[in-house]
Amino acid sequence: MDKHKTRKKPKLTGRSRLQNMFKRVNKEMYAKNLELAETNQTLFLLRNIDNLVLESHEELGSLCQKIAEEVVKHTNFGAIGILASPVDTNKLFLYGFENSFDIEISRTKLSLELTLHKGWIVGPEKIALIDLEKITHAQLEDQFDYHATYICEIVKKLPIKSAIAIKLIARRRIVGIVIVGFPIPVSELSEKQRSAVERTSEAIGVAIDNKLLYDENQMVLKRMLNTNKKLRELDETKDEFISMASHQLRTPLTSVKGYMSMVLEGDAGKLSKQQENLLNQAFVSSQRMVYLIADLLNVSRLKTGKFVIDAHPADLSEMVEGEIAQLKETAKLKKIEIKYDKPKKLPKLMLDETKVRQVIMNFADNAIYYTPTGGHINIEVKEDDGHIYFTVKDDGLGVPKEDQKHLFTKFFRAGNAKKARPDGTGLGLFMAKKVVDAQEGNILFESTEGKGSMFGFSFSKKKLAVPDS
Amino acid sequence: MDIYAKIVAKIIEQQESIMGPIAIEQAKRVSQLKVDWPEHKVDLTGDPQAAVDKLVEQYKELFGQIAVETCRDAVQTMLASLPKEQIPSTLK
Repeated sequence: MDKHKTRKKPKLTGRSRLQNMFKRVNKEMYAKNLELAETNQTLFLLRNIDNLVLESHEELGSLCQKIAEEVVKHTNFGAIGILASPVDTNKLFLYGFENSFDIEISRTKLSLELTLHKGWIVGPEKIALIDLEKITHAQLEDQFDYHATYICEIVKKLPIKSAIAIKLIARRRIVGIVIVGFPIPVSELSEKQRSAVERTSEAIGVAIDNKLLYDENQMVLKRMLNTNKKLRELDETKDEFISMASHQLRTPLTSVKGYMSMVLEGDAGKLSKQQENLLNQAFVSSQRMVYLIADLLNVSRLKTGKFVIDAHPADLSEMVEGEIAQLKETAKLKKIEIKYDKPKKLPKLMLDETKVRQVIMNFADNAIYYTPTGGHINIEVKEDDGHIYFTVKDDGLGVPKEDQKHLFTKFFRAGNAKKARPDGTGLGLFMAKKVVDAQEGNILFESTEGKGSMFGFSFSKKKLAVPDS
Repeated sequence: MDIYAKIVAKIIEQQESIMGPIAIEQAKRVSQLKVDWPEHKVDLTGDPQAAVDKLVEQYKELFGQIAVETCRDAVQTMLASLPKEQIPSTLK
């Protein structure tokens, strides 16, 4: 027999080979499943943190505590502390704290003043590994000021030997710090554990920042609402004043106008030419004040909801004739010819006669004012295409092209109009449009600077037809 | 549940999340354990440390050392509250 015969390995049977293969496959599958399970766990935790932020209307403090509880429940972290910095402060407050050892820890109002801080918190490093077995009270004081004693107590009570601290940075500021404690020394912390802490901290950082953004928005909204409220109150006060002042002014002005009219008609005796001239000018000015007050009153009624169309059957051609008659003296003073061919027969329309008269007066008065001495004004009322048209054409200043689109807006006055008539309010045309629009009419306007303008309106005969009684 | 029963329950829970119901079947094969998993109730008979070791070995037999490490990670915080001599040997 050969003594040096080497011992051969026993041949593996087919069955054992199969068993070995199964074992290998099992291990590989286990490893893959473990990866998946960890990923699932992380995703589940991150989703829960997101949901806490989305569904919570609680204060930042309560939110952080809930997040801390959720993290401890779904990870193998020994303990977690979440510090956050609320809006408009440079302080970090310990809002969330939880541990997995079922050890009761009293919460304290731990806060850190960031602007006064030195050390890691304000340094460039984002992550710090803390060896709790070796850290001294002095080192803790460096980071946590007078709270070092409290932190020492926590470290003594809980069986944690190491911690990972991560700064949460958003919009270039520290919005929080997460500190996770482990029951194993720093040297035994695995890469997996560090990654888990980083990932979780990222989600917590986003959650805190979202909450802070929401809080900031709420603050801004509150300020805006307060400001709006004050502005509305101021606006109402202003409107009430305008309404009151207009009412108070109207009565004495009507008297002034009335008495002047009587004197001009000779009720107090014959007037000299000079007296007549002077009184005419005073009368025209008082008339303007009456229109101004009427416009102010209407504007204030618009705001207070008292602007109501009181429609009755009215003859537009008669209304125009009546208003023009009041302007004869004014036109005469400027040697302006007003041409108006009153149409013979025009159907009546359901109109707010008072307000429409004001519009007619406004257009005609403007035409006289902005037409130079010796100019011409042509006023027309006609029926065409199912509508009734009223137009005032002049050969006056015209409106600059760049001003035309703003002309009917509140308080707007064209540049050349401001020069010609500095005391205008910019309310006449605004109110004219309101009155016409409220009766489903259309404003008509054309103008060429230096040549003249056409202002007017049209109403639908059908829409404003007088109902059969 | 005492600490060892909690440790066993946590290990089974963690293994279940990785391998599914097989984890519970494997746990039931450990003679020192009485597992009522719908209630998440676990009772240990005999030496509790040995019972935990047996369970961990069961998983190791099927899935190797990685299963042991997973068991250890799952109960890390619970082990921290035990004195060294009371920690089951497979989890040290």
